[in-house]
Parts: sequence; C-alpha cells; structure tokens
Amino acid sequence: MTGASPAIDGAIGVVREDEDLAPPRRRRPWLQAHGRALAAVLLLLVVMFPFLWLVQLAFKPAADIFEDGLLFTPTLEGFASLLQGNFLKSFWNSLAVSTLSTVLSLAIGVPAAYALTRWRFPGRDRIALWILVTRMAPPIAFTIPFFLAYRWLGLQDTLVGLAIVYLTFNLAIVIWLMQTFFEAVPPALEEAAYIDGCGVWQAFWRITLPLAAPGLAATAVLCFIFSWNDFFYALILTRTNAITAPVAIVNFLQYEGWEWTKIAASGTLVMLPVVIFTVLVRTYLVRGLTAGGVKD
Amino acid sequence: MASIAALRGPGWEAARHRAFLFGLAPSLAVLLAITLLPAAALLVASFTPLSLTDPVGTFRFDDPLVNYRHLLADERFLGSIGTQLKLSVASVVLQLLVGLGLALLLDGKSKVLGATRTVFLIPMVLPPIVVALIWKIMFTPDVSPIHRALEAVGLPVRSLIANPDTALWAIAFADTWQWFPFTMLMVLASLQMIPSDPIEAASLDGATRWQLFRYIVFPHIRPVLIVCGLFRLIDSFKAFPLIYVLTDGGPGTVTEVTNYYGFIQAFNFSYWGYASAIAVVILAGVFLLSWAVGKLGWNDHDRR
Amino acid sequence: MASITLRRLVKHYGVTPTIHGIDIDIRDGEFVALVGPSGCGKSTLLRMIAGLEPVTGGEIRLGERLINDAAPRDRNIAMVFQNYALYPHMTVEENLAFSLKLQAVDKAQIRRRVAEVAEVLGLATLLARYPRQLSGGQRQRVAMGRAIVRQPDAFLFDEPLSNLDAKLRVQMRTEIKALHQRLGTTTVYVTHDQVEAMTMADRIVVLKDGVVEQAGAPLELYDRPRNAFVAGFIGSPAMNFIPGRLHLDGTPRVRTDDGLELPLAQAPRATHGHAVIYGARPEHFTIEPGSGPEAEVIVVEPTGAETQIAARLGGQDIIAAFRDRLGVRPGERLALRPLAAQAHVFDAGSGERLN
Repeated sequence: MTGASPAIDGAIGVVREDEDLAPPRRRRPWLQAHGRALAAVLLLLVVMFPFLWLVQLAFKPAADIFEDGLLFTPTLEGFASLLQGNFLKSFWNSLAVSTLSTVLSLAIGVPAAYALTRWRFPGRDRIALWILVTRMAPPIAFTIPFFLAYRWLGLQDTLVGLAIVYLTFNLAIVIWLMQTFFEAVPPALEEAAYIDGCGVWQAFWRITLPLAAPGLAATAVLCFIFSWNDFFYALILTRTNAITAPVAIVNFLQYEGWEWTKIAASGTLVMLPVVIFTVLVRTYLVRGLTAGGVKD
Repeated sequence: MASIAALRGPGWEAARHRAFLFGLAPSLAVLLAITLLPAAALLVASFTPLSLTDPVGTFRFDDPLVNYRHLLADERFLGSIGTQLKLSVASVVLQLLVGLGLALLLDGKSKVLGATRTVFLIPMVLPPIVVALIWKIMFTPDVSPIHRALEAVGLPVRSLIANPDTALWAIAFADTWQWFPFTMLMVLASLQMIPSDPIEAASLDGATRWQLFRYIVFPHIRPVLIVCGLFRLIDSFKAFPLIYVLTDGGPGTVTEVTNYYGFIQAFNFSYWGYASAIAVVILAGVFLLSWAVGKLGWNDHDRR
Repeated sequence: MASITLRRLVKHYGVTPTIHGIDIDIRDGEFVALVGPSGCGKSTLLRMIAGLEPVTGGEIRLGERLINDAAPRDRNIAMVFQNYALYPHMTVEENLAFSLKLQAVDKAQIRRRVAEVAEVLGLATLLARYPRQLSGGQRQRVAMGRAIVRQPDAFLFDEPLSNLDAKLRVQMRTEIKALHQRLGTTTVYVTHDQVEAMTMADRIVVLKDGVVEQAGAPLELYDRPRNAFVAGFIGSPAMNFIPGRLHLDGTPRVRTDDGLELPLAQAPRATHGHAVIYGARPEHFTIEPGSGPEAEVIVVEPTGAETQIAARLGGQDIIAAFRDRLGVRPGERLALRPLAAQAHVFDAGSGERLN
C-alpha cells in the first residue's frame, strides 16, 4: 500500500515497492564505483604507449637510444638537427600546401554546397553520390594520370600542382559537410532577406554564411588535416622543390640512415598541428571522417 | 521545384535557379577535370603497354586487352589480391571488435571517460606516416621497448616484420591501432541514441548485462557496425604508408597488396599501362563496394 | 501605397493544382484577411504575392504594374512571417536597418528611421539586444518594425500571431489594427483564426481548397454567408446545422426526419420537400416555453460573458448561447427555439444559400 506521492510516503514512513534500500555510500567499494574509469585510463595508457614512446624518444639524447632506462635528461638535440637540411623547407611546404588546398576547396566547394542544399533538381542525387564516390577512390587511380599530366603541364614538383590534386578528396569533404551546416539554416531567413532586398548570393553572404560560420571553421580545419596528412600523392608528385614534411621524414629513413632521434623528433613535429586541431574540432571530426558513412 | 527547363524563364524562380547553377558549376567543372578525366585517361592507358622507357612507341592500341590478359596470368598480381583480402578482412574485423569493446567500456557520462574518449582519437588523426614510424620503432628489435621488455623477461621474439609468417599480421595490428577509433566513435554515437526505456524495462525484468547487450544493444548498433565495416573495407584498399615503411611489400611479396603492386609497377618499373590496368581493377572493386553501401541507404541527404 | 489585384490566379505544384483560378481585388489602403482551413491555399497565395512562389497562371498586379515575374526585392512589399524570421546574428537595430542598408541609404537617415519605428513599437530600449534575448511579443514587434521601416506599398502578414499565447494574441491584434489605421498601408493578413479576421479586417476572403468561397465585409459574411462552409467557418461558437426537408404548406418551415419543426420567416427559393440544411447560430436562440418540444440540457458552460448550453432538441445536438445567466442544470429541460428571422437555409447537396 503506497501513498499518493513520495512526499506523503516519506511522511508516513511507507516504503514504495520499486525502491531499493540503497546501502550507505561509505560501504560501496571504490573499485565498483570507479572501475570503469580506472579500466579506461589503464587501457588508454596501454594503447597510447607506442605514441608516447615516439614523443619521448624525440627528447632522448642520441647516445641513450639503445639504453633501457626510462629516465634521461631531455634534450632538444633531435629537434636541432632537423634545422639542417631539407626538413624545415618541407615543413613550410606542408603548411603552404595545406593552406592553399583548404582555401581552394572552400572557395570552390562552399557555393556548390549551398546550391545543392537549396536546389532540388533532377539528377541531384546522382551528382551527390558521384561527389562522395570521388573521395573513396584509391589514390593510385589518380596518381598515374596526374603524374603524366603534370609532366606535360609542368606542374610536377609544385605546390600548386599538389593543391589541385588534393581537391580530389577535399572538395568532396567541403561539399558534403557544408551541406549539413547550410541545411540547419531555416530557409525563412533567406526569404526574409529576399524581401528585404537581397539577391540569392547576397542573402547567402549576409545571412546564411555567417550563421554557418562555426561549421565553416570546422570544415576548414578538416581540409587542413587531410592535406597535411597526405603521403602518397606527395611522394609521387614532388621531388625536392615542393616536398612536404611526411615525405621528408621518409628521406631520413632511406638516405640518411636510421637516425632514430631525428625520426622521432620529425614525427613529433609533423603530428603536432594535427593533434592540436583535433582537440579543437573533435565534435565535427566524426562527420568529416565518415562523410555520410553512417545514417544519422 | 522546377525542372532544368525552367532555367530560361523570366521569373524570380528561374533567376534563382540560374544563380544556383552559377555556384555549382565551378565544382562540377573541377570535379569533372580531376576525377572523370583522369579516370578516363587511366582506362585508356590500361589498354596500352605504355612504358616510360619508350612513351611514344608504347602508346598503341593494337592489343587493348594485353594488360588484362597478363593480369589474369600474373601470379604476383593474383597473390596480391589474396594478400589484400587477408589484410583487409583481418584489419576490419579487429577494428570492429576493438572499437566495439572500447565503445561499450567508454559509454558513460563521467569527465574522465569523456577525456579518454578524446585521447583515443589520436591514432586516427595522426599523419599515417607518423603511425608507420611509431610501429617501425615498435617492430624493430634494436630500439623497440616491447622487444627489449620481452627479452628481459626471457621471451625473446624475432622481428615480426622480417618474418614472412607474421609480417602481414604485424601490419594488420598496426592498421587496427590506427583505425579502431573510427569504429569506436561510430558505435559510441549509436549507443547514445538507444532509447533508455527498453533497457530500463528489461533491467527491471531481471535481464543480465549480457542479455541486455545481446537482445537490445547489439541489434541497435548492428547497422552501424555493418556500415563501419564496409566503409573501413573500402578505405583499406588505400593502405600504403604502413607497408612502405614497415615492409616494402616484403619479406618477398608477402605483404604486397594490390595497391602496392600497382605502385611498384608504375614507379619502380615504369610499366604505366600495366599499372593502369591494376588501378582499374582496384577502382572497380571500390565502386562495387560503394554501390553496396549506397544500397543500404546511408546517403541521408537525399531522404530529406 | 497601392492596390493589389489577383486575376484568374492558378498554381500548380508539379502536376498537382492547388489554386484553381482566384480573383481578388484589394483596394489601396484596405486591410484584407485571407482565412480558411489548413491546406486551403491562403499561405501559398500570400507567398505568390510576395514573389516567393512562382505563378503558374493568371496575373498579379500591384497598382497598375504586373509583378508576376518580379523578384521579391523589386516588389516594394514587406512581409511578417509566422516564425518572425529575425536574423539571429544581428541586433534588433541591425535587423530593422537591414533593408535600408541594402538600399545604400545614408547612415544618419537609417538611424533616424529606425529610431522612429522603434519608438512607435516600444522597442527603443531593445535596440542593442539580439533576437534570442527577446520575448515572443517583442520579437513579433521587431518583425513588424522591419516591415514598417521600408515604407512599402503593402504589408503581408503570414499568421503572425499563431505562436503567441492567447492573451498576447488579443493585445497584438489591437496593436496591428491601430498600426494599420495610423499608417493606412494596404495589408493582406493570412490567418486560420476567424476571430482575428472578423475583428481586424475591412474585408474577409474565405478560401477552401484553392477557391474563393466568399469575399466581403466581416458582418456581411456573418449575416449572409453564401454557403454552408462559410456559415460554419465564421462565428464562434459555430453555427448549428440541422438537416431536414423544406415544408411550404402553411407557414414555411424546415422539418427534420424526427419531426422537429424549425421556423422560417420567409419561403426560400426552393420547392416543397427539398432537402435542405437549417442553420441557426447559437446566439440566435430564444427560450419560449410552450412553443414546441423541449430540449434536454446536456452540458452548461458559463464563460462569464455568456452561457453556452449544449442540448438535444428533437434528436439533434445543438449549442445555444445566451447573454443572461440561466439557472439551468444538466438533465433539465429547456424550451429552446431558433429565431426565425435569423435562420439560414442551405441546399443539402451543394451547400449553397437558399434564403
């Protein structure tokens, strides 16, 4: 027999049927309460161990690499040695190409994404699918024709040439992601803008784009990350002039012998921008990496 | 909603559609130039015995199917397909299992869990070359802490990547390390969308954690797992830096996947025609898989 | 300031016709309400006037000018949306100034006009706020201000009050009406609420399924609805409809199948025995003891201003409304009788008015 409400029940001392008598907090074992978090952190350390090892290796003096001790005096030798040779230039190239590719992809892709959002025309679905498929194709399919074409066009080993090739995957990302952000802007706002005196692209520039700005920033970051991370295209299409950081590292392996500290230091530097950006846009990362792979 | 014929009309709607076309055209033109054109060129090149040693002379179509016939008889090529399938399936299955397990573990509201979820993203976003370097270090006995630790405990292990029996597994392991966060994220997102009512009701009815998983949670996330798996399968055909840095296709050709074989044919031997044919075969496989994924209806933009 | 003329207006969505040839004349300075049930096409009509929907056939004229193909910005009209459609990333002042900024009006003049309008609408202290910081009523006023600032030839309102609570709705109704009287701009006002239409409009156009059912002054629609649909749509509580047959032998009356006799003042244009629908508004009933069968009271609903009684009279469920406080209780009997002079007769088949 229960009363009409917990308040009344409490007042007359009735125990409701579906309530457990919870034990006092002190008695619940700390392990049970925090077991999950503990397991998560332990697993984290195990899984991230290889990553952490690389980072710490970058700060180890070259002489200690083959030592087993975990304690050492950190040094920036490894990083300093990178200053000689090609590495700094390649790092700068990566920066330049990634920025260029991002800007290019956004400039071409954002208006297209908007048009696809607001314009339902026959064949639209097929075009949307084609755009997505371009992202899925293996790079080998594009590198052979591009290599030959660039030799002929003189774009081989240039930053511009690389940036154009990166459009093959970045354009699709921009169009796909920005569509979702534009869809979130109510069309009524654009209609109000039309009545207030805007044309189509005026309304886009003054109303839609400002409202989709966070999405635009996240998309830009993703384009940058994908460009920065590329290895295959850069390997094939660059030599010494437009060489990017990931490819330059490989040169350490092949031509300069296995200098592990240098390798670790360069690896750490190359991953740094990406890791920082990831933390900034982690919520949008999922969307970008799956590009429609999973139903919402 | 108007058809394209309306583009020529005098009214505002037609003007609007013309404006949209103006915005869409550059992308379409660029995509045409950098995807369809190269794809067509690739197809054309696959019909020739093109070789960089004599580009003009070898650009002929007298025997268009020469490369494809050669492929069917090429043991190295056929072997590479087998290797690719082995690697892809092993990697994808491992990624699904690890991603699923971690997602189930990390599905919770605490700040600690939230922070670990973010840190677990790192392998997926690292430049693939850095991932390759990390595992090169891990798999090289001289410098690898794992090898030295095993040695110290009295279980010395030979280099996994130098051993033909274990090289492919080593790569699959590294690949799983790199990509498990993808599945983890997808499953986590899906777990968060499970309505709590059925779970509460089942708990009250006395269901065990395993039963809850098997009858409520798993059916809900199964579509995500399938799409994840297919997506990762398509992406696995691109695997390159790991093989390039860890094994260079070896020892022998044990880790030479089709993608890598194509790379060698093109850039080591300069047999462009033959490499194009290999690339066409890979492309066909990717299209088939993409079509399969498309059939499952993941393109949700169209259904709005 | 201009008149709006719709001639033989037709609208198709793909192959589906939704508007089947509409003619409406709105005089310069008039306040016209478009009412009807959902799906009748009133919003579509409004959007066609605004230029947001293309015209499939017919003409729309603003004054003398044919505006079928004109872009919305070239029509010199302003629209107030149902969901206000305020620009979330702009302050109230920027929202109000937006259209003027697009016309490259100089800054001093913009500030002046915005201040004027803000003053009129009571928004002067809110100019620096963002739409998300405003209440529903305040947002509605900003939406109106945005329209007023442009000094357009016509205002278009698309169900602007449906998102507000009842009390606010009544208040805003009066404000909009006062604004119209002050500015004198041609106004087209779409609503599904016939009370709004009755209280605010100079003329009402009742729409159903893409066709004009009747257009006229509010009281005209109230007193002489052209068909049963308009009769049932206008007036609250709705008119009572009682099916029966016309009897012209002796005093003209309508007789239901159960034998209930309903009085008429004159014989309508129909033959004896014709199947008709007798219409009597709840407010047009009297209590005449001894006039005939008594009704059984089912529910009594006192609203304070009047008493509504749901009763069963001769097998028919009716609602009657009285200004006086009646002391009846459910289950009692009441000699309800419709007033013959106010009765309506409609053809049972077509719904057309017969008297």
